[in-house]
Amino acid sequence: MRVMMTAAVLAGVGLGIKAAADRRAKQRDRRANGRWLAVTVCKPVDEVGAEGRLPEPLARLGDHVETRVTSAPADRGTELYARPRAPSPSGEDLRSLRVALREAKSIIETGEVVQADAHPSAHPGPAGKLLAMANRKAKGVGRL
Amino acid sequence: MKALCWEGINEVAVEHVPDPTIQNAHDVIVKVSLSTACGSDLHLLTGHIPFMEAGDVIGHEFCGEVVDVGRAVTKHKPGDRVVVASFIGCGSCWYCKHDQWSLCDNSNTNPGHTDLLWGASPGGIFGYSHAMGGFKGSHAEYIRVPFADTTAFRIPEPVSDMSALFASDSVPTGWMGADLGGVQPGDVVAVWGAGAVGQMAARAAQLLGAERVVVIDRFDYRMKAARDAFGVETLDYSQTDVGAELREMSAGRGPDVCIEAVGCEAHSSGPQYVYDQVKSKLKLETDRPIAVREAIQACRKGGSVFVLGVFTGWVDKFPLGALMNKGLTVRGAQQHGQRYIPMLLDRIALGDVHTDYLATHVLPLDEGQRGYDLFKKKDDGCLRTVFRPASS
Ligand SMILES: NC(=O)c1ccc[n+]([C@@H]2O[C@H](COP(=O)([O-])OP(=O)(O)OC[C@H]3O[C@@H](n4cnc5c(N)ncnc54)[C@H](O)[C@@H]3O)[C@@H](O)[C@H]2O)c1
Ligand SMILES: [Zn+2]
Ligand SMILES: [Zn+2]
Repeated sequence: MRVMMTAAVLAGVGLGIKAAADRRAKQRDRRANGRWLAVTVCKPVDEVGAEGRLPEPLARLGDHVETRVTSAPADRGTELYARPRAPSPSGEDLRSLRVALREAKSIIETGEVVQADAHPSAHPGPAGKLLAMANRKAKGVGRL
Repeated sequence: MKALCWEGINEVAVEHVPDPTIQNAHDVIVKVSLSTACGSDLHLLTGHIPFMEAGDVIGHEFCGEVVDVGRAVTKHKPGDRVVVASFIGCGSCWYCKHDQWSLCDNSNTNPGHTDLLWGASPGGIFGYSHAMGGFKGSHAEYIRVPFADTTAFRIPEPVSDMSALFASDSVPTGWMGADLGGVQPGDVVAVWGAGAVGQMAARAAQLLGAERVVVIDRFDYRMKAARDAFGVETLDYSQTDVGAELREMSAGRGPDVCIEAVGCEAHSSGPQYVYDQVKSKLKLETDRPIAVREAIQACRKGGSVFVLGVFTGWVDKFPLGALMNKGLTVRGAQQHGQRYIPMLLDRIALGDVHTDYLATHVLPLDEGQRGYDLFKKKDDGCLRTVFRPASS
């Protein structure tokens, strides 16, 4: 029991640090309204696709986002930029845009988006449940 | 199937969990024949990596037999004996194409966690928390291997599973430390830590032409294993002044290359140990960089220090002055296994690199808790506990 408590406390501290980082990220999201989010895709420009021919995760966002594709320096491939046309104050659209950019890059480079293993833990415990919630959001946050 | 799971601090247990299935076109399913505990698991067990759920399957250094393949897999078929790199590499991103496989852009399913903590996310690794990929581990009867064409490697016929096992993680990690640390013929190389990773780094340094290789630890049986296996020299840090010994061994210059294979839970007999213990208890630092400090201090002017040991966050009393004024190169990485595994399997086949002696304790999964206790406490001459899931 003591071990479980320590585990929960440690996980709590870890998630606390993460939560602070998440809060900073949200502030950043609010300040970032209007700024381009970008990924560099390791493929030539013609394989990344001009506007209108972007892979499904980005195409799905349709007119809500503006995109820009340019060649990256040296052997780095192609720069793929996107930003919401009318940024929402909550920053939610930035989170779905990050997911879309990450998935689009993976599809263009590898043909797929790798999934986490199915069947998560059957008894994650309270700390594990918190973590699972954070995991569900993890593709929509970050420095991207 | 049976699998060994993390349950909380220093607690593991065998559970019955659903068998893995093909989820992505580049996946294979491997029936695990051998899976070893690694020093990195000890950092998970002590809670240094807090992104674990009770019930998560652990283990990342393994080999076995392919039993099912996804439709996009071209290099593997059922029946192949394979060793699998601990880090999953997609093979198509810029990092994979530049042989920096543990930095893969596409193999971490939760990139946001580490993006926020470290400014960018490394690739995914098996059984090593939801921040490092969210994949189940190999201490199980079966495991799903994503991007299998670039993550799993056929084991050459003459190499046994037990020898190939360590080509998954500890051998390429050690090799990377010596290679990217820039070991040159004639160098004096010092390695902190006589675990499997340090021993393999020492062997790599020898094979890259080092004149003198010195391994530092405090466990006699570990240093003896290194001496017996490869004829390296050893120093017991609890008995001697490591910096002074190294200076004498290199005629006053200091080692050309220092390889740190200890990690964030380093031990020390000096006052800095108490200092770091207190600091980490108060969460004023996350990691204890004792061996890194010593390596930077000992290194010759203009030399290089390679950090192989795992660190997770922030450290205190980092000797930035020594780094800057001595013109050092300090570098670290999670292992780029794919870069070295084929070459290392050939070397293992040729007898250049011996590995089986590392498997001091071979146990069924059911003895998982005992296996980790032995490994953690360095009891009973344990170098590595290896699990044989099929015999559970
Ligand atoms: N970079 C990578 O990709 C990678 C891969 C595998 C392992 N690792 C890391 O490498 C480290 C070693 O792994 P391992 O499996 O060999 O672990 P291990 O626990 O078997 O060995 C660590 C050794 O370090 C020794 N040690 C502790 N404090 C020391 C000090 N102050 N000076 C000298 N030696 C000291 C211990 O006595 C022990 O023998 C761990 O931190 C692990 O996480 C990194
Ligand atoms: Zn490892
Ligand atoms: Zn990659």
